Amino acid sequence: MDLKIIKKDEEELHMEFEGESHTLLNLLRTELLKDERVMYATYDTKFTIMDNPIFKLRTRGEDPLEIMKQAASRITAQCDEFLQCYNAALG
Amino acid sequence: MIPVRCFSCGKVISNVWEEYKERIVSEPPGKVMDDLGIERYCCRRMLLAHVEIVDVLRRYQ
Amino acid sequence: MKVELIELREDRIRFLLTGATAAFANGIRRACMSEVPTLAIDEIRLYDNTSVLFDEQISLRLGLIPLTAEDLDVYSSPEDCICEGAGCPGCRVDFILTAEGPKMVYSQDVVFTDPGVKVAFEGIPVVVLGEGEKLVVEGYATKRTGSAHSKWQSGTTCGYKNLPRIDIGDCQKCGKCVKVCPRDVLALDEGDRVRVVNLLACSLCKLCIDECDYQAITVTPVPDSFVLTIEGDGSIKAKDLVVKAAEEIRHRAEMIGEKMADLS
Repeated sequence: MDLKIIKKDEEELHMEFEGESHTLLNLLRTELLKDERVMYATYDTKFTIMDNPIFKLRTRGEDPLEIMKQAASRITAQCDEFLQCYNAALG
Repeated sequence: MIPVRCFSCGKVISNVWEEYKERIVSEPPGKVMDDLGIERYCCRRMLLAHVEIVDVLRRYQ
Repeated sequence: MKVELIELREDRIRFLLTGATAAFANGIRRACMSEVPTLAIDEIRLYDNTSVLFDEQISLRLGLIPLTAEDLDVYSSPEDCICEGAGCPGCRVDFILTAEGPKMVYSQDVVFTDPGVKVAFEGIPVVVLGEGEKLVVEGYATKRTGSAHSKWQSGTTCGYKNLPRIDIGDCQKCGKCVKVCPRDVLALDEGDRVRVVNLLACSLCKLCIDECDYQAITVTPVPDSFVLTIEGDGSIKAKDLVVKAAEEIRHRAEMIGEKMADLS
């Protein structure tokens, strides 16, 4: 995975996710939208399978990189919790 | 030759083809497929609708 | 988050996931289908083929055979390999297949150089050889994900639905809903109203709601509960597939976190 910043200022971040798809980005968007400090979070792929998705995030004045980092760590925590529950269910 | 997998769902169906072919002589195909674990109708049509023509083609090699 | 096991087979697992977002359930489903790497025959060299099938047909059939590995982690994808895609024992498993007719060539006749790598099903017919017909094939399998080609797709039939919630109010016991339900979710017996007997089978089609003259039935999806059905092609056990999918998502999220820390 390679990330390219297209636009970045105090509250806005446009970023290209190389080789990523809905699998991760939809999860990331859902997590970001739970955050009160986020004004909008969305992503768009110009042409499926040919272009890389571009993620757009705007916050209410906070550093978007930091907010994105926190959302990513929430996803990691979710996966850990899921794996723990799953393994427990399998016994 | 029977396709290796179901066209629609990708389940491997060709490994039961020979048993299926033998058993439908005396049993109803639906029951045989149930026994062989071919559940979905996409997989069932693979076996049900297959016509083996390799041996016919061989004559024109 | 809570996980309850509903059904477990070698090739299929069904479980109830509670307290998660639809995005997470969908992430697991998508990762099972296209992000978990597995082995498949990638390239072949045909030295001799006098069978009825064309060379291309044989190569396509070989590619679709699911392969199992004792330890899949010893192989890396060609893109991530130290050989940088040139091809080395770290990212390739060589195989040979030789047969002379008259005989049926099965998937079990494919012999890999690594004894840990085997075909998942031994009885897949590859080609039938007639008298004097010959097949000599050499090639290799590589490890990739389903997003590259469906032959590397280890989760074939994966899906999820919301857990249904069926409420029955002022029931007149006419039994119309029982008759119309295509999945026998409802039953009519001694009680004063229709009973839900097979909740998990409900596909939320809502035919029962339309059929009820008294508006006594409501069917609603429980927003944070999902029934996931994950079926594999046999290359990876279904229960391991889900673990690998979750690990794959975790790994990617972790990478985002790291890159964000680098950038800020």
